[in-house]
Amino acid sequence: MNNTFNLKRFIPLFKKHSLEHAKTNLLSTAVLAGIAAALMGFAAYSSGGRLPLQMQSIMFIYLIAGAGGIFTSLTFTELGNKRKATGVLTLPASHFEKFLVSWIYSYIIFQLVLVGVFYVVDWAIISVSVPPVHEPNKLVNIFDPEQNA
Amino acid sequence: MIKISQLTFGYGKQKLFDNLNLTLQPGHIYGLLGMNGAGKSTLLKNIAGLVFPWAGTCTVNGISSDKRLPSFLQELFFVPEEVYLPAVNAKQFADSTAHFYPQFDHGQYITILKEFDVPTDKLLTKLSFGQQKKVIIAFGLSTNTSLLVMDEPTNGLDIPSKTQFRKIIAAALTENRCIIISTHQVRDLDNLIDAVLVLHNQQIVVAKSLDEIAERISFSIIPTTGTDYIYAEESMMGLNAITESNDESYNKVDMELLFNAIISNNTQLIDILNKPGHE
Repeated sequence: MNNTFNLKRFIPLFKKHSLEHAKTNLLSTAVLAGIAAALMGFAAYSSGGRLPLQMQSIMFIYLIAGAGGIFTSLTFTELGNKRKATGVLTLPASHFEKFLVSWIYSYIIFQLVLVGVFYVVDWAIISVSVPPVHEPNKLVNIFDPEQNA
Repeated sequence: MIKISQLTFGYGKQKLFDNLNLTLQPGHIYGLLGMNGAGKSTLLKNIAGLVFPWAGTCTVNGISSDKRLPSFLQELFFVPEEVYLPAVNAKQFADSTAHFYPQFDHGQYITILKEFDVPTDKLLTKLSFGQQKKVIIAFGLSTNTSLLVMDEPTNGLDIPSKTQFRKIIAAALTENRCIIISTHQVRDLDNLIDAVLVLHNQQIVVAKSLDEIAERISFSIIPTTGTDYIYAEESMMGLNAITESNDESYNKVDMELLFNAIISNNTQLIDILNKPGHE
């Protein structure tokens, strides 16, 4: 038996983690969306309906740094709780597999969800805001370095 | 199966075990007894690899437990004293966790839950502490791991459930399985265990089967004027006494009396029980 990585263990481990953390993750996503809406809504409102590309980029950076810091710091909190830690530590999967699941959630899935939430909220704010006619709002492309300069 | 050699462990500066040695075999239900704070839970955690020895080794089926390798963990199930279960129902919990235990028996799990009268469709987090404990006991038994470690499993169970617990555990024992149950409620282990381990003064002072104990000492009530005993406690009927056994007549081990005698540092009793040649 491979005691470091085995796909037959890893897939059930990923599914188990997803099932058991689904409620927390959905709530966290809702909170993230709420905070993003509040921040960008306030920014648009206070600048007369304008939400410039640079402002959107700054909001994205705040969100990824703030939410990322909080979410990542909570990834291994189970190990600090005696009751929860026993179940995690004695589950028959390797340390690497357990770490990899947490890494996928805190790095890959988190970023995908954050980008998705950001664009949904950004699009919604831009749709409802009423900027001056000659300064229409455009959706930022966070993957374009020139727009984020 | 379990071999603990020269185990030394403690927390901070407080040493709990000092060169502790213990060997356990499959096919037995061991009752681990000790006073509060003696280190029962800690010893079980050492066996499960949840804490690391200061010195010495602890192996299960030849694998060092502190590495917590998957091949080791899939043959061990640990029922902790304080249970944490996720916000899923009992069936979902088995569906998401049973994969990790190759011998898991879903039918057995559902049967035990029914015997314990625990709903399978209710969120585990909404169940009472006793019901949560029953779920984890049912799951642990159904994993059919070669080693099942239970830390104070009867805490939180009501009286009828304790009776059911005894029946279910007895039925789950096979010749390839080793079950260790720790408790400070000695009576909960009556008619359940077949071997007793007593943890006292940083050592396992007694590790014997009940049959061996019954061969060596007798438990009886003697007149209060009697003096020919190893250890005795006053009772309504006279003296509840432990005497050295002279014949092979049936003799039920009074575990509470035995435990009290051992923790009172009765060296005569400990020497009789540990005397070689009666294996």
